[in-house]
Amino acid sequence: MATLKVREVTKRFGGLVALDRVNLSVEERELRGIIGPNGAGKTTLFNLITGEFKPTGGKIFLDDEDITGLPPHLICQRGLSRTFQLTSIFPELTVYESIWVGINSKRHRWNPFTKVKNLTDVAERAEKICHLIGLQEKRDELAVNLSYGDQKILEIGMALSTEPSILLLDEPTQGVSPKEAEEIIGVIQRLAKDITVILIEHSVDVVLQVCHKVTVLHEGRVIAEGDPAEISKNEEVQRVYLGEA
Amino acid sequence: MKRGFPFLLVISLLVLGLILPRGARSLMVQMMAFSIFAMAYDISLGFTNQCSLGHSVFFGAGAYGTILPMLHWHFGVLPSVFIGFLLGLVLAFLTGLISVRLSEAYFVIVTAIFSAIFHLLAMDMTWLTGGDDGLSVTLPKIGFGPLKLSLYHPLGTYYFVLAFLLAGYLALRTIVGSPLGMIFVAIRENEKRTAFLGYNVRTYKLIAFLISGTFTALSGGLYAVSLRYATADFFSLYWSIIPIVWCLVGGLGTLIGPCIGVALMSLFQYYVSAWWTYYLVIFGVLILLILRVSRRGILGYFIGRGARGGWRL
Repeated sequence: MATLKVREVTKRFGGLVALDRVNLSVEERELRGIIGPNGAGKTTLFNLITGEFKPTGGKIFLDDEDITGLPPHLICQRGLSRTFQLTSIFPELTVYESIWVGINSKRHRWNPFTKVKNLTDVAERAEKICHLIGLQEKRDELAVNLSYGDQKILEIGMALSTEPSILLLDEPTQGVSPKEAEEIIGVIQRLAKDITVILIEHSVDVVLQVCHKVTVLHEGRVIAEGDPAEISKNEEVQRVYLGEA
Repeated sequence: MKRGFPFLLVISLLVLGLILPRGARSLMVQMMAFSIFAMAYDISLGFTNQCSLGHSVFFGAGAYGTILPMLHWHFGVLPSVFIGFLLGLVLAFLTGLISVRLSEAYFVIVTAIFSAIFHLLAMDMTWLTGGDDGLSVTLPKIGFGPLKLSLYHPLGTYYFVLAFLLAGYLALRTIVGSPLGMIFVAIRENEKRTAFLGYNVRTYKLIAFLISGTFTALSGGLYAVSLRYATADFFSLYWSIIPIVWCLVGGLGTLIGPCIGVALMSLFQYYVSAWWTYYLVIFGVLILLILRVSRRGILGYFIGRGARGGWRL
């Protein structure tokens, strides 16, 4: 069970309506894409779902539990994890340690006695995730010394390390080389076999290519929703993207 | 060498007590008491990025918490030091509850205000603190069964404080090397990300502040014991700023680094102030030079920017 329901969610910043009665319903193991022009409210939607902001109106449910307005750490503990558009890493922790911190959030949270090295359960899992995201050779590099593409991958690894049932990815391929983007998309497709993934992407092609279902946001509203074929034929979506008034 | 070095250090500290001349030994006692303060302060600044200007509160509270029970109720030295330690815990909890909610600059200001309030109170309540003149105390002997240790014996204070320094280091070392310590470092590196990985950042910052405050109080208590004296001056802003200097000079984010900072600053103060009153000017320039060469202080220079993440010696 890992479903996310967003019901009539509205967010106002002063006079600006960033999101206007948005509805979204994501099923278990779905790979959902969210697209829309700049300022459409994609990242704001993620910020509301993950607890960074409280919505002005509306409710958000995770597996039928109301999580509206919970703080980020509690939402993460309930199995919903995210990455950030501008990479948010631990600059002076190594790849391995960054992953370690994520895994530990569901294990030895308050332990002040045991040496980190001696907690084999976390270590094993951390090795596994380093492998899964293909950074095992760079596991002892400081995060700050990684290439931007690898930092983006590390971000996904960190989000994954909290063992989420739903993963929210905010423009994971933005600003990386085409080759790195391909790797990242590969990782996402592998992940989507086991967990629910919601993907914000600027590149419409990528979304249409990999996602099961796509939601289009424009000026804070959902203007279209459907499978990639429907979306690419939708006239309103074409108008928004081609910029015809 | 890695295994042998700590062992060698402990041996040399033990031997130094025997061979040092009187003046140098009491300087050493002071440096050891301050080292606990410096390490404790780094738990706040170097490990969780909380730049407190309120640690003089805990230092002063530790000193008075230790002196007053001996003076008024004829408590033994060890129970008194423990009371000072507990007083630090209580005050760190009360001030921490308010201040850890605040972000950076506000945290600094509010903790500085706590320091100012407690300094004023201590200066004003002369019936309790003795004000600027302070309070002197006669130290009772410490009994270990039939053995009695007098802190008036030249070596007594040295080994008394050394024992606490080693115990304090081991305790902090354990915390810093545990999952809790790893989370502290994560918070220092990126507070928001740590929250989004499922940790209640505010609670962890409060815990770090508590650990920091209590060990600072322990240091204050030991310093007061070594002087047999406490003064309201221990609450002054000076004692909030000096630990920042120790940590910056020695190496943030480590335990040994701040001790190096203490040693350097104390030796400098002791020897250079003897021939020039404005020695702090030279020291200021020295700090700038050290930080220019190595952003992470003296220890940071020697560890280098190796691939060891979050390094916490």
